[in-house]
Amino acid sequence: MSEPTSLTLGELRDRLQSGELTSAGVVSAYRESYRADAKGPQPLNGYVEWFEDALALAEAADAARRRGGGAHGLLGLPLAVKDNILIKGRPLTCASEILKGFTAPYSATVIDRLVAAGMIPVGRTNMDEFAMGSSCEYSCYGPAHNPVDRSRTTGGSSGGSAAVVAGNQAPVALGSETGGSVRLPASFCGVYGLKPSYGSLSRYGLVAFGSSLDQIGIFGRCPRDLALLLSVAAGKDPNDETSADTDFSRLGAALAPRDLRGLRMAIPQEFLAEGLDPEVRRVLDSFVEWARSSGAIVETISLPILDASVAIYYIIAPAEASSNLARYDGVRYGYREREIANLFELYERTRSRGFGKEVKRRILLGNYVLSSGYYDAYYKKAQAVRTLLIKEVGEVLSRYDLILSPTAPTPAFTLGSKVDDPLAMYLSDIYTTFANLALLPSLSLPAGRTPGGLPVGVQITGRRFAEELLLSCAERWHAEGATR
Amino acid sequence: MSDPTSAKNGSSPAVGTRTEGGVTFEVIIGCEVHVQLLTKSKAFCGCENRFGGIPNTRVCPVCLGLPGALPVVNLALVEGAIIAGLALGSRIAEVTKFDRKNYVYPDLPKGYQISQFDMPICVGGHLDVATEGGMRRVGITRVHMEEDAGKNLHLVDGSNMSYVDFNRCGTPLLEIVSEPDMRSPEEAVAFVESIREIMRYLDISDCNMEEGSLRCDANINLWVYEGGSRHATPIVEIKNMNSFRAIRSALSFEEKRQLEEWKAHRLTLDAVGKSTRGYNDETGETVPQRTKEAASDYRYFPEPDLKPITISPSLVEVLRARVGELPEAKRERLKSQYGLADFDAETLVVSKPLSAYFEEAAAGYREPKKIANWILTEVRSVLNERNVEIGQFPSKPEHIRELLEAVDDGTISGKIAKEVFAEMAVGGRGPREIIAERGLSQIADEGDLAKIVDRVIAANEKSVADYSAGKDHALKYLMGQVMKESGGKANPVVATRLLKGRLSR
Amino acid sequence: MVDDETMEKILYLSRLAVDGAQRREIAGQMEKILDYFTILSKYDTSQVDVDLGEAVAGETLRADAARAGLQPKEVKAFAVQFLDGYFSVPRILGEEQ
Repeated sequence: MSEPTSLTLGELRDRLQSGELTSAGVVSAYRESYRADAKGPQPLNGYVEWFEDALALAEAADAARRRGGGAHGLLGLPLAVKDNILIKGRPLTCASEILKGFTAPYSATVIDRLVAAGMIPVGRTNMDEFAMGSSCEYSCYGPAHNPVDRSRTTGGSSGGSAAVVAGNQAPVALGSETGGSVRLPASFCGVYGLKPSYGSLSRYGLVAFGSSLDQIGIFGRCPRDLALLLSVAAGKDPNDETSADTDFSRLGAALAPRDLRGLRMAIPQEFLAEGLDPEVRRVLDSFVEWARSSGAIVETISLPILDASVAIYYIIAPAEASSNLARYDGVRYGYREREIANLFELYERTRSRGFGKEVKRRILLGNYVLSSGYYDAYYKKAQAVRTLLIKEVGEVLSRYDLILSPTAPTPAFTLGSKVDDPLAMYLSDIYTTFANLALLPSLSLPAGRTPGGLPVGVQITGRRFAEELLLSCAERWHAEGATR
Repeated sequence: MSDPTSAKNGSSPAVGTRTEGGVTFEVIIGCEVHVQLLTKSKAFCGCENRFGGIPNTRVCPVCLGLPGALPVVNLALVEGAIIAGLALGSRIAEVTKFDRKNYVYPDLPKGYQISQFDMPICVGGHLDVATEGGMRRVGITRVHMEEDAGKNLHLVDGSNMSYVDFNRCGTPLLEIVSEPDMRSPEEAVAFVESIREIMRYLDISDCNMEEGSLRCDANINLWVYEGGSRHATPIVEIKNMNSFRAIRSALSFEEKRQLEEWKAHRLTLDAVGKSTRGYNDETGETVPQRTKEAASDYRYFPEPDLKPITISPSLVEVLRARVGELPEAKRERLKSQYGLADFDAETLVVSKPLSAYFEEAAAGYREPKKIANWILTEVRSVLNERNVEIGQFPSKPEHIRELLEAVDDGTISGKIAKEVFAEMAVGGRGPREIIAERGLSQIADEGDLAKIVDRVIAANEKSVADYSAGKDHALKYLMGQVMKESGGKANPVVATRLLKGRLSR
Repeated sequence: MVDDETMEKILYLSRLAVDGAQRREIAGQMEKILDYFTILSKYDTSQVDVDLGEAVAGETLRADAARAGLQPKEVKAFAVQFLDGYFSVPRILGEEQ
């Protein structure tokens, strides 16, 4: 019998329902996996906290099931949660010193819905501070390590979530994206990562970074697991005006693999340019070959606006962040600097001590592009080019069903290799950001490995609210392509 | 506030100009009025919108600026803004949106205020304000929606700390910006008072300056006329004026200060720009406020957590119907329909219930002006004494009409009417009932009156003799005695006729 | 592009303090990033009306109703400096009441 820790969420659910496994047994197994790794020479550092009472909650779920409470579709199943999503009664730090000591007084809507369906949050996962980073190295808890090669990064910012799923310490995990922070770590760690359409999942209780871009994302070992969570968590939330009236509930039943015949995929040639690692290119080519052999039509197109993605993103996201992070000032919660002579020092010293370098950099950049004299040239210009991008990407998606590309230009890089070069770090997002900017759903699937064994992901992006198409295509790959 | 530096209409002084100490100048004032709306919940969250309360008990993740919280717009905020805009004759935007105004202050938990920058919900409009010099039309630049901040307390407790209460944080506010059309501190006060009346009339705010539901900042400068040119002095924004008296006092002080400053330094708006001063109520002076220049870079950008709002013509019509007749239209109608004077119409219009009371009372009565007069003097006097509104006044509107009809048809005299009214105002009973019960009807019966007249004549020989000798005042005296004898109930017309008749025999 | 005066101003707006050497480092990094942004000038946006996103109809906004928020003990649980029900901060100057 397989170890519980290597089963998918769907498989665990089936075995809980059949009685073959208990929730307590499953949670125990994951806890042991985590503890064993934590004691090892180079722990993944995917979890920043494992909830010690998770086991008791699992036992309670088993008791509820015995009483006939199996109606909750996800009863007793464990879930890892990125440390920027509020869980009532649990600490929340966003991997930042400035929130040390803060306990969440309410739960995010997505958490409420998954918990109402019976899921058990088992721990908080590591991340780049305030979700600002592409490698999970900007964390006050130290970096997370890639389970495939521990000298390498997991990717970021949701690095911890990717690591625990890839490292068999959780079957599924929640992360968040603003510019690629779910898809990139999914690619680096070799798991599936979904960024839903902007608005599909409520942002209430997700700590804001770039409000017009943020979305909670899902990590799993198979597309069906992503679909399960999406089906429960998605839908309009009166607490979030930007949430959309989506209904993915039927994805909770079996997710059928898509027939790819006639499916039209476009590869932007701008994403095949200089900077793309040849080993990543090879995996993409292999994927394209499989897709074509399954009947899909795959064509290369030109979409020059995509070259603007990173620039637009790194103007708009820091601008919104500089405003969103203004509330961290030591007045009402979190860290407060004690050695202060006056009110100004309260703000300045709390924030200077509490925030890490990258966060400070982005706040400064954000205030710069918003400040008078620069607003028109930067922020306003970025918004205008974003509008163009949305329009032109939309035009492509009116002629094609999906946009296909590598998720990242390289496989996982070594720890420390980009930390001191912000611009180089930002360019990791070169393929992912357009989907966030255009509010579109995008999914990274593990498409292959480099000769050295490093995972390579390929991303498929669809029209707004076309999550079902993405998931069913990914399911086809998972069922047939991945095991070729 | 639009910049009044350019002498658009030539450089010749206009009506409001004065000359003092050799300087000919005009005072230019614009006001920014903040009005708290009377909604059940706050602007962007469901916390109760109510004044006072135990500190930090009407708060939630949203209005406290906790991580992960998001704003959700209150429909009543948008409705209140539209209603205010309709009353001010503004154009209601078809699409409006919120923006973030970024600055740092302890009472501002998010580090930004959700406000409106370039797409306010209402644009333009005007308010006709009654001033000493006549009616002044004050232009309205815009009306926009925003949220209030928390409250800071500075106790004299030697602890060197300030204390913040976030109950008020997130309360819905309307900001009403006027054109710089006012020409004296008194006009500015009149403007703010008019805003207060309109907002209370519309029932969207109680506009209570003591409680902070009405706040005012003013922008003031001078236009100095000299040798065919017009010079604008630097514009000063005055803050911390917490009463109507303070507004008048602050602006009067500032006017004088700017005049002296002009004489001494001749600084212009072009050279110096705009600054801020705070009013000190104890000293009656304005003092410069320390604001670092960089601090006023608000870095406005569209609020990404809220969608733009479309306002349909049908929504505007529903609200227009809810408002009903606007004060201006009502005032004109009261004047034309009931023949009321300007002042009376103006006063009645201020209160919807009071004007409704008047119209009910005046229905079918031949001299509505008398009814208006009675309400504005006698009834209002009682209301003021008891510190209540017309809704708590025990008499029904038709009782007022019946009272005046009783005077008209001679049942009672005007003097007795006041007595009857006094009793009406206590018990709420109708005048006819009171008159009958207390036997207050005038004595008009000639036989009864004749007896009284005869008694008075008999008892006042000297006055009678005086009257015969041609002293008319004696008649007055004798009438007084007749009224006294009759307990004030003698019908004056009949009594006079009888008295004269007897005396001339 | 990011001279001392500008750096001073945005540090103040951000309420951040960065010492001399780090300041130069950050200014340098920012300049590099800002320079990268010039790529946007390649795109002609003179005819573009910025898309503010889909709008919401006024009538469908949240109905005005009050509901309970956080209980005092919940506020106390995360409050840093809380005295007699108030959040306290060093004295705010310039406001005498």
